[in-house]
Amino acid sequence: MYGYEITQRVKDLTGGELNITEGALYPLLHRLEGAGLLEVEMENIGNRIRKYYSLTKAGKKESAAAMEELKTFLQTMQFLIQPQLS
Amino acid sequence: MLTKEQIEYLFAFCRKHWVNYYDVQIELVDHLANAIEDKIAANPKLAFEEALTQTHKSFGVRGFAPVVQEKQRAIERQSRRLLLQLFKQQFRWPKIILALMIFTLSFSLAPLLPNDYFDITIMIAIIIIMVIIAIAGYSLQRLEKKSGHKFLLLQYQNALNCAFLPLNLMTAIQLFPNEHKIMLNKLGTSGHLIGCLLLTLFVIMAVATCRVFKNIKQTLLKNYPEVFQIAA
Repeated sequence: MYGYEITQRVKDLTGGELNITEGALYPLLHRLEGAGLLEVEMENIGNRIRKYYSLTKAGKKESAAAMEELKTFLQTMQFLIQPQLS
Repeated sequence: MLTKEQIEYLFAFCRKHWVNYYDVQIELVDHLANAIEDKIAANPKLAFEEALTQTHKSFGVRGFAPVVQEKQRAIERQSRRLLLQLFKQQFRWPKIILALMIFTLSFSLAPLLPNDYFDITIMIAIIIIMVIIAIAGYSLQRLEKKSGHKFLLLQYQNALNCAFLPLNLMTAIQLFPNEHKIMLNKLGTSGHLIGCLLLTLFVIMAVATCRVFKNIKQTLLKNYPEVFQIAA
């Protein structure tokens, strides 16, 4: 996916709840690219060149780890806010 | 779809806002173009310049600056990581043969050199290697000049400073404060060992640096063929 597509897709999937600003998106994409988690491919779409981002092998592994971490965090918060009484 | 003139206008807009590197410009131009096309599709009466102003505002008060800064940091990180990866690869079989050959050859020749000439010989060898690295780096700069564009990918200098670490160690040994100036040749076999080891490390680092340059050149030719085909 390319940068603009990512912002629109996130907006569409979350019904406008999550709005990633350009000022946040591109620095993050470059940081992830620098860390080897994203790779890029350039494509000439006629009147300009487009840069597509995709996850590397390390990126997919990191993505799965991040999802697990988020899940654990949510479970922990759930426990703190609504602990089950024994 | 925006016209060719409007796309050129966007490139000029990026340059006006201090984005002088082509590899950053093309990404921003594509984003701006997409956003403007969407805004005009939603409101056909909206002028191109107004749509551009609105899109630029969404980058925040600092505009494009964080994009360029983070891209620069990312390139330095990638270059450094690639250099260390290629350096470590040189110590795997069969590439380690080169390191062993350099060390063995230099260590065998060291006792044959006249007194006081060992340090000078090592320094001359290092200078020759530095010239080779400089020529390899210069050929990349020439490629960039021929393309007519500046690339952030070619601003790798800070990342590759660690390539000179063995040389810095050699200099530190020579400048060690002592009533008798420490020269490697005065340390006998130990001095030869240290000198040959540092020379070997420096040569291997130089090989890795030249491979980084090759990798950068391949990336540029792959990602921006239209620019570099004209240059080539």
